Amino acid sequence: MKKGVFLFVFFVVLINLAFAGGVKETVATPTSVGYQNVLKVGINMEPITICTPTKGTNVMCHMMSFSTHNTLVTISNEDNATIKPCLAESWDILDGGKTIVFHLRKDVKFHNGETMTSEDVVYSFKERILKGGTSRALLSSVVDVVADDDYTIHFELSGADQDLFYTLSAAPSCIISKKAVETEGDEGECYGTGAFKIEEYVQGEFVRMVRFDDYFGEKPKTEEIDWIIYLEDSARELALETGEIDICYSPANSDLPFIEKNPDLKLISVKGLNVYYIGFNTKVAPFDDEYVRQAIASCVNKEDAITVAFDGLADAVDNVMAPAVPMYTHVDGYTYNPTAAKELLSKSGYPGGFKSTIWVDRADEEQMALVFKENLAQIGIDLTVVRLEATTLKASWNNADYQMCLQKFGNTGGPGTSFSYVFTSKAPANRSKVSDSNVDLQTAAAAVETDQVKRQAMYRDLNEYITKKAYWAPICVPQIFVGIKASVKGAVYKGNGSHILTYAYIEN
Amino acid sequence: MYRYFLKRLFWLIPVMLGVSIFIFIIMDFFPGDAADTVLGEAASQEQLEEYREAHGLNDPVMVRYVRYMANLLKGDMGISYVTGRDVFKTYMQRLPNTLLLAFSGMTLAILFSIPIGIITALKRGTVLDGTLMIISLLGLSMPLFWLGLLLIIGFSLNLGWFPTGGSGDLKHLVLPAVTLAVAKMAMLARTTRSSMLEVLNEDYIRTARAKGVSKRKATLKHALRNALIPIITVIGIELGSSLGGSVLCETVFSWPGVGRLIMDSISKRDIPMVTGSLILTTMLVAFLLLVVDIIYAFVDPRIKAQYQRKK
Repeated sequence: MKKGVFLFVFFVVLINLAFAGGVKETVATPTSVGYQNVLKVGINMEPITICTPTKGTNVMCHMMSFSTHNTLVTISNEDNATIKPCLAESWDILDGGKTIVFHLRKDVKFHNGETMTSEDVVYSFKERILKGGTSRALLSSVVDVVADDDYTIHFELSGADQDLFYTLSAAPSCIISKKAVETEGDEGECYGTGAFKIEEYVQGEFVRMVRFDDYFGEKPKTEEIDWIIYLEDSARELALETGEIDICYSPANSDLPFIEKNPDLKLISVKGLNVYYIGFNTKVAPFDDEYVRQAIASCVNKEDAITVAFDGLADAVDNVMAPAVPMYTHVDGYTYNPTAAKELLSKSGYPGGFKSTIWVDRADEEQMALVFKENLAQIGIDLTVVRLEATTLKASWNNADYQMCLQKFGNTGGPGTSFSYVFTSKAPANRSKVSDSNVDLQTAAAAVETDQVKRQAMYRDLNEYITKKAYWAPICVPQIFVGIKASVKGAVYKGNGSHILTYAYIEN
Repeated sequence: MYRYFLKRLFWLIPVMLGVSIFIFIIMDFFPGDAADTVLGEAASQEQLEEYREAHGLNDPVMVRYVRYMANLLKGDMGISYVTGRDVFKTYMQRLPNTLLLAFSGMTLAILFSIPIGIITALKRGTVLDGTLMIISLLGLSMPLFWLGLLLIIGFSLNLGWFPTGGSGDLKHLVLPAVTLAVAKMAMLARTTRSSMLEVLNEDYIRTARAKGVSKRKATLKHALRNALIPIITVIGIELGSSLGGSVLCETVFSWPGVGRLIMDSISKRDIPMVTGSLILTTMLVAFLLLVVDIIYAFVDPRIKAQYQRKK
């Protein structure tokens, strides 16, 4: 018996030691004179499409792609609006904006050693981005992409598209190696032209990137970036406090005071781009009635919702366009006024109120929806909050029982994306099922307007029209937070959460 | 015995079939599919349809099932819809972490809970018994998630002894293993206590004592051996549940195990990954339960005799 127990314990310890030896070490931080060699970033989600960046559907993949891949043009980090050269060193806009000629850099190499030519750019767009890529919905104006010579290409457009350059600067519009994809399939996309190359991706654990010495641009000071996955917010923040990571992506609001109190750490706060809104199914009663939508927009207490869901760390908004989007102009919207809401409802066909449901898929949305349930009860609307799992919700927008939703929209493109992605009749995220020719025409007209002053005025008018129509009841824009070691420098923090960490470094 | 072992292995076949059919049907009931996840909201209806056609998602559930099983018989568990990676390789990449955590947690639990169970049974009704049982009740009812965070704050943040998460050397293993062990320990200690109490009241223990056998020997050799069957059963069940992955523990400690893999795959409707992972996990658990059955025979000669009679 004793012998059996001893053998059992011995066996189990042996198994443990065997496996412990086999698991890879993820933390290695040798230092050299000058800068810390390895930068460790704690991230909050699995970057599943990191090896297929043109299909990147989450912000994490976009953020990481900015270090491994490049786009034809890029947006200035200073004003988040000016378009700057990247893989294309210059461009000419011809035929009133219908043809755009890009002159490519000649010194660009992919991580597999191939030199980038126009053949790769044409292949990237025609075979990847426009076929199955994430950016394709925003590139509907592109008719063809043609190589003129080894280092010149041109885009043929159906009409001038002022948002095109913003879309071309987005991470899923990155340029990939034709040869790599043709020989290695989808995962060949991981060979980019960026300052870092992917060395290892262990699903569920980390992505390790090392500096690419043949990078055409300025060399980063850091030699390696380790993106370590910590799904639990508090554990990620604690890892920052213990020094296991240098940057903590998106810490929970409840953990922010710990970062602020710690003299070795710094809390970065950026104005966000994600608008939380109530969407209405305008195809069904009673939400086809403008007064009903306006009544609801006037009866939701945004400040209370922000306190409950974001600990007060969000800005209430009443416009459909986020204030940090280029060409934003404020227009007056609906503010919390139950008396006015009651009057508006009395003008509709539902003066006594009605029963309805609101769909949400995230905890913060559910918390806000519960506040609104109380608010709307004041005007006789009996709201039931239904929380659906994310993929179930994605697949349920065409269900007959969809009435209202509380969702967020993050504009990662140009100003026109604030309308073309969510309000036009063919918009991919048209949660309010808006089918309004005025919106379609104005959005299309603004997209081709080359006079930027006129264009801004057109977006203001569109913003005002949609706000008044109450196709959405905009709620708030939460602030974006990043916790960093006080010694981290060189990172660029973005309102859409897709921060650029390529040049982040720590001085020894 | 040998025949029994083979018979049990044979029974794994209908179990696997049942599990795979069940998963396919259940996943089919959920709204949404891999096309929604992979292509994102920017996808047009035509692109979604094209993806579904290309991956056979429009076929009836039984057609998809038969196709899957035909490939499985050829040793092909398929490719993940979401990551495009081989299902078997992805699972096997995570499995060592899960085995490591499960066996470590269980070892710790066994080492502490069985002595606690024996002591509390011997000291029944005393302050020590009451105290240890209250502690075990706390362990049983304490949320794993909360305990994990407390341990991180105490041992990583304040003392700096262990890393907050991830996998690597043995240091990374300590906190998740202790967290997992606490919950298992509570259950195991209570089972040991009740089983020991039952046996300690048996006539043969009294007889052994009357014959002059020391209390220690009577407890450890006569009583514990007879009380082991329910304890082994609980160990088997608890270990089996850990092999399926301890999602909460894996999440808090960023431990890259099978549990998180399965959860992620379910939320993304990645049917090949879910089905493959669950089939492999079921095989693993079924094998474990078989081992438990064999251990019964070694612990209790009466059971071994039963197997031999059946032969």
